[in-house]
Amino acid sequence: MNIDVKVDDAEVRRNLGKLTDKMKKAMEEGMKDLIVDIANTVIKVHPWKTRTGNNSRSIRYEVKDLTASVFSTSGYGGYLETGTATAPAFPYFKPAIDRHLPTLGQHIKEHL
Amino acid sequence: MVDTNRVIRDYLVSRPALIALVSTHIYAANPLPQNATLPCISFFTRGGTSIPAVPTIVIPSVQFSCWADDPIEAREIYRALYDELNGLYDANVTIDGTIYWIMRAIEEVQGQDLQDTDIPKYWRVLTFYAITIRNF
Repeated sequence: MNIDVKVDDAEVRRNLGKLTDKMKKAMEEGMKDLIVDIANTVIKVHPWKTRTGNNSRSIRYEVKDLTASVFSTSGYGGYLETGTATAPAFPYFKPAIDRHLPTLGQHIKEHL
Repeated sequence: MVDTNRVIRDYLVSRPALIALVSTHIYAANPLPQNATLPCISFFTRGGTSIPAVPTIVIPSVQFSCWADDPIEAREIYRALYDELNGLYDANVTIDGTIYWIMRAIEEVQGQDLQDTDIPKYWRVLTFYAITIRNF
């Protein structure tokens, strides 16, 4: 007995293209959700006692395609994170990233 | 729970290449101690992760500063630290009769050459490592 199987993959390819677009969109939206969570934690959860709130107000974030950034624009946000020879470090970006990064998959799933 | 700072320091002070450069001036401190002698290395834990299902394993993220009074020497210390730590796999440290296991050490960010803002004659190379440590 001989069985011939012919698969017309044109439709599969068409839908695969749609899936890829949908996936990319979901990843972008998930990335936006993630970076907002990280920025909120950076702003609200830090180990120093706020005196002026200047650094917290200076926190900005941006998402471009699949790349996201969160940063301080105060001019001294980096010194707070890493310290100097005489001033202690108060890491606040790294713990925020550690806390929220594991939720990226869930955020992407919410947009699928 | 494992005192990860002590495990890391004990490991580093046992490395001849580092001792040759900084003697035993390796400080688990934030910021640098006031009486610190240059050249030296200071480090502290800035965060990291743990594994809920395996509480004996922790993965601190550690900030290292390689200090010297000139940038070339600071980078030389950084390079020695890199050679000792990056890619480290399966190293034992015994403290008070207990064996601790550094399972893995991976550099998170390549060293940054920085001049200190508070003491301009102080130079440092700043780097970060994720270090997986387990006690038996």
